[in-house]
Amino acid sequence: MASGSGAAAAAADAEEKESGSRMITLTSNEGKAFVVTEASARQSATIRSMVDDGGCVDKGFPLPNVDSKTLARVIQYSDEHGNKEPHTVDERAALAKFDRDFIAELDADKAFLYDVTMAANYLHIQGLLALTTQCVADTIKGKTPEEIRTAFGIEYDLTAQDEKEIKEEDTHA
Amino acid sequence: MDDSIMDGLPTDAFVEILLRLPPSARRRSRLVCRRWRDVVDARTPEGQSRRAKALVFFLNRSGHSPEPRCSAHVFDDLSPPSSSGREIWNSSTGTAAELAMVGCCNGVIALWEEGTGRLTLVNPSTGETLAIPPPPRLPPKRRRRRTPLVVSCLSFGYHPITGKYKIVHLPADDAMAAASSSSWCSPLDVVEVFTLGDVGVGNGATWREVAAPPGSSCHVRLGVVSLDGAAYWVAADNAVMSFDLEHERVAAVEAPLPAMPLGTWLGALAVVGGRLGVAVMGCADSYPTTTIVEVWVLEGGRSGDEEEQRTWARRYSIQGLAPGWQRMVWPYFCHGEHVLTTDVRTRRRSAHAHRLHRLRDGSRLALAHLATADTAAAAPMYDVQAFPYVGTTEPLGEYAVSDASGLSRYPYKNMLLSLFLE
Repeated sequence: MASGSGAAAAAADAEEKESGSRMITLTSNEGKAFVVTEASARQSATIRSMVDDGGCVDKGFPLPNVDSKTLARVIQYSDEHGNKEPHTVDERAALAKFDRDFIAELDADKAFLYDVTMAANYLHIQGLLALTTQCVADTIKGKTPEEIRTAFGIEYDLTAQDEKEIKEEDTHA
Repeated sequence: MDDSIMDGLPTDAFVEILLRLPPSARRRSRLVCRRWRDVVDARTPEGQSRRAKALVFFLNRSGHSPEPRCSAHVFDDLSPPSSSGREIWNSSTGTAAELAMVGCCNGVIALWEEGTGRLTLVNPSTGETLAIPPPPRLPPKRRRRRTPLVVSCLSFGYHPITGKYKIVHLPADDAMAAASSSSWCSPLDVVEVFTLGDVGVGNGATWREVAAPPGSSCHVRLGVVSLDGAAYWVAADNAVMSFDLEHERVAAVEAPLPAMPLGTWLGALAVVGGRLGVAVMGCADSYPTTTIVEVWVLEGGRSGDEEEQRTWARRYSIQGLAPGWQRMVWPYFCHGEHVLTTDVRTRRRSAHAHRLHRLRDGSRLALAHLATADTAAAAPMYDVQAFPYVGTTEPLGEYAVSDASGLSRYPYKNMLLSLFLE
């Protein structure tokens, strides 16, 4: 996992290669600062629009909805996608492999998967949101409603009448 | 954790997840709990089709009428004895343009103009319109061809996950199709596609060509139907082809149409209860002056990602249609528990709704001559089409941004509608 200083070091490297790229500080709700390249931060449409509106680039961006663990993981994704642009077939394949490994790791820890999904939703990182929501959808896909309730700890609150109506609508549809 | 881990998930993210499910799984997920049911109903195509109303589009062919040339009516209630519907849009009286409807997505109507080949998107709720250039592979000569043949090669679709609107044109050569022995089946080498609002990417403002696999074909007269992020059409040998609106790929649907019995013919592709359907027409043996229409529906998942097995299943039959004058209204002839027809003799802007009856063996049947949804008017000949309609206030303006130059190149002179540009 990318730690704050690790991400900063990687970002500094990227900045050396690409002169003129700014560094941006993102702060988790625990007050931990993460320094990333602008390219990486721009993976987030939320931050992108704040940067483009001439927002507080120097002061950094506090993210009150994201904890440090989640933010570090999100930065791992946006560094990979923001700092390099895949040109060759091999580079694209490497990025696809990164995505596969990234999501496989998250899939093993469901609670964390939802944290990352929420952060991707809040930060509007479309690629990451697609990756995590597809992963959840794959979990739901082959299950019966009963199995879904068990898997997600959902309480059954439909009345018999509700259920009858839903089933009827379905056969009529 | 006491509560469901999904509880903390914002609805937007939850909707993203639901939209990534195959439609069958999404329908099933309404049975999980109230929240899931409510979100599916409010935010997904399944919920939309449940709320959709019947939109009937009339084109006055004669041109001699005090009424507008074209008008679109929405019917909130098809119960007998009759309902006049609401006119949601018309082309204004006195204009010459003959328009046909290409399709309707999320309340936005796509129209095709005979002669110029231009397309226009209209949002009746906001009154905005947006002009789209004609597909390049529809040469000027063919733009003058009779409307039904051209419109049946066009489709207006929406991809629920990417949120993109696309217009699909199959440049099927109707001359070649007419010459071919296999009943209006034309070879097809590419699919033309126009994406609305690829702002920033810059490739959305023009028609693009997507190669079709070698040997592809298209039944010109059976239509193209857009549904749940893909466009479908019928190819040679009863094959069904699809064009994925997200990945822009042409592929065969693994379930070909069922073999048709002798003496029947395919009517058209259609949307039946939110699924792809096809009408098979035939004459009743016992009563040869009436037409029987059998309606088949493609069950199982959609094309694209991994899916459930897809098969065609017979849904119901419509009996008692008088050949010649009583016609099905394409491509949305089945609205909920009703079947829509039009009577070509009355020369009125009228459509008829026939209620489906459930028979003891579980099959369903619609009999003609039951209820009439009617907007009384005198004289002319009408072309009648029907589509599912859900009103929207989503602005069209944002799609114009990427193509301001394209819009000025195709000023819409004939119609008294203002172009909406941000």
